[in-house]
Amino acid sequence: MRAGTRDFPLPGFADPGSDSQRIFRSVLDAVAHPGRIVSIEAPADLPSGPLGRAAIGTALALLDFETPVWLDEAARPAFSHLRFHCNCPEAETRDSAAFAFIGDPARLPALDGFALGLDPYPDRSTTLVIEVADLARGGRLSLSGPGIENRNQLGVAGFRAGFWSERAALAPLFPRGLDLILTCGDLLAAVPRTTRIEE
Amino acid sequence: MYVAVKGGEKAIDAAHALLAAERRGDPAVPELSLAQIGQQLAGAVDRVMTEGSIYDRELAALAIKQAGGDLVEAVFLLRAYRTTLPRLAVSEPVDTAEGLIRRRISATFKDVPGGQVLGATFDYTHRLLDFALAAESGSPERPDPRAACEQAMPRVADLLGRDGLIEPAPEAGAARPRDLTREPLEFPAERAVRLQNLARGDEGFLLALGYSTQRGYGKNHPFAGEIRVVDVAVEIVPEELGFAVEIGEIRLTECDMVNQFKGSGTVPAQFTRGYGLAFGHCERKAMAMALVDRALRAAELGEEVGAPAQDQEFVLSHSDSVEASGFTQHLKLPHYVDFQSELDLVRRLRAAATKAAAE
Amino acid sequence: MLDSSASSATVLRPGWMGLLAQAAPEDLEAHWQSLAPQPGYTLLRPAETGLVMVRGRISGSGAPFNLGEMTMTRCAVRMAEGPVGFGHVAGRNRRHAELAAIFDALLQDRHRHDGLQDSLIAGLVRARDAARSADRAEIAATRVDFFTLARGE
Repeated sequence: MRAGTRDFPLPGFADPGSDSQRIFRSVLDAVAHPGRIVSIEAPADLPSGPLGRAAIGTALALLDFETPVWLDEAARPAFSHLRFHCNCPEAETRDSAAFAFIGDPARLPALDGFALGLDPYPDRSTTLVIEVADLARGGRLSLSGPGIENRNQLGVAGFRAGFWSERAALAPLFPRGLDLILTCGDLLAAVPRTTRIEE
Repeated sequence: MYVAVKGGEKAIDAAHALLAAERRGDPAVPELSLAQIGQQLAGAVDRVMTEGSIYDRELAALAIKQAGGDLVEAVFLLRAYRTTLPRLAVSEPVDTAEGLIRRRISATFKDVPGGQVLGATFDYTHRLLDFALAAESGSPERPDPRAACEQAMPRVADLLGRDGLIEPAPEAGAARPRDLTREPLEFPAERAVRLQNLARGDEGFLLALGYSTQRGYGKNHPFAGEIRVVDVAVEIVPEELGFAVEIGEIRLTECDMVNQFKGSGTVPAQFTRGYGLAFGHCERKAMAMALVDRALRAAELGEEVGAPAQDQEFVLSHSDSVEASGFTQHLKLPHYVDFQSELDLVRRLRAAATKAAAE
Repeated sequence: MLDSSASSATVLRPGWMGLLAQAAPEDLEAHWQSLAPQPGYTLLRPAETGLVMVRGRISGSGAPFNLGEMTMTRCAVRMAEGPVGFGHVAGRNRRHAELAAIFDALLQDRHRHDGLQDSLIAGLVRARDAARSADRAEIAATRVDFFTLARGE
């Protein structure tokens, strides 16, 4: 992993068409089956900072010049790389961000500060991509709801205490809400707003 | 309710083969090339680019070839192809006062700075079929070149504007113009959105509406203040550069209509305006668009709103040929169950009427 | 985009990028083939084709509105010798965008700049100016010379 400098940006996808299609498909798979863990294989080069391949690959695949992006302080070093490859504008406020990238989930700001969507357009919410310390099958969190046959167990480390309760408090707002993409290095799992989580 | 219909695959494959054969026609006749369409059917290409809403002459020529000359079908093909391409940038607003002006006329003033430059136009032809064109005529003689006029060509509207005789062009607000390709049409629609809708709207529809205003359905006394055909530079400001670069040139047709003047107790009388802009050389479209643009401003200008061309919902909901064609042609889809229930109802009503008559 | 203080008319970067975009791709390819040795480069962003939304102004000088889209291909390269170049070219020609990026990079190279201004850019300026003059002259022939007819007494 080399750090990019202003004069020498790091390359993005080697094969943008195929790489972004493959990643899109993987993320779709994860969102459709909450708790399923998928592996993201591109890009080869990563900018400095905590965001791993799954987070950066998701960014390169999904961001473009019409998706304002918000990054927390920990994830900020990746911004110039994403800006170069995706032309993504920086969101002026958290609630105007289409995507938010979080490098330090312990210090994740209040969830209701992000865009939660509108009743006629619930999709206009911020999608959070959060780099967590650990992501594993089995584990303390019990997931149920659409896309899950009975229950899926997921192990996630890195959030502050009370995070999942804070998330559960948004449930009555449905169809408004937040969708989470959890990444850990090359691994990715998704927790859409419809998923119920019990700790 | 739509019924899943099975069993047509073989017939459909054969229909496609027949379509391809009919599109090609007699194999002894030379096949059309995209270059031929692009060069010699430029009018078709311009229209398809404007309504297909992509400026790419080669793509439009291909769509025309594939559609066998059915231009509305070609527009559909371009719109569909559009969805496969990512949006990379938004251009700086083009400047139609700069660039190579290929045609510039005004019906409001005879002597305009820069002169009346006819360009290539059908306007003075006698509309007699020219049978000489039935044979291949080689290359026609080009006009004798003449020293280019160095005089500037200011907008006619600016000349009127100097004395405050015409309303100024609307100023840019802080917000960027809404984009119909990104957000659905909502009413009331602001002028920028209306213009985007009209620009990609069907020329025939707009021509009829524009004509209707001239015949009295929402009259607004139009004069062709200026019509320009100009090759403009398109610039974008890439993020990584931070300065504007020119990516190429496109040809545009612009029409500035000067309309019914309006004044009030506080504002002295001024001419009002309508605006039309289209890809390529599409004069009829630009003029019709300008007439309809002005008609749609009736409410804003305190005029009585009653004519179809003045009704936003009527005009903007029906202007798109892809939407209109889609819904019209969807009638070809099986509606067997719907129709069956209608048939039953008609039979029952008739039976009841017969029974009542017998009693 | 011309630096009139230079002894020969030197085109600045925004200007040369525009010229490279409207150059005939065959000319750029021929020029590239004529470089010996051909400098090495990597594709930072491989050529990709997409759309640019073209904006017009209401009444030509007023508030902007979205007119319709056009195709554009862009590319970013890094020369082995260092400079990073960008190509943004109307249309769908990937190779054209790549060559535009390559020459944008080479023109930023101190050692190559002057040579390329003379051998490539100057030629592109001449070709563009010649085409425009020819067009203008034909169009000028269609300008109406009004004259007043004097009626008899």
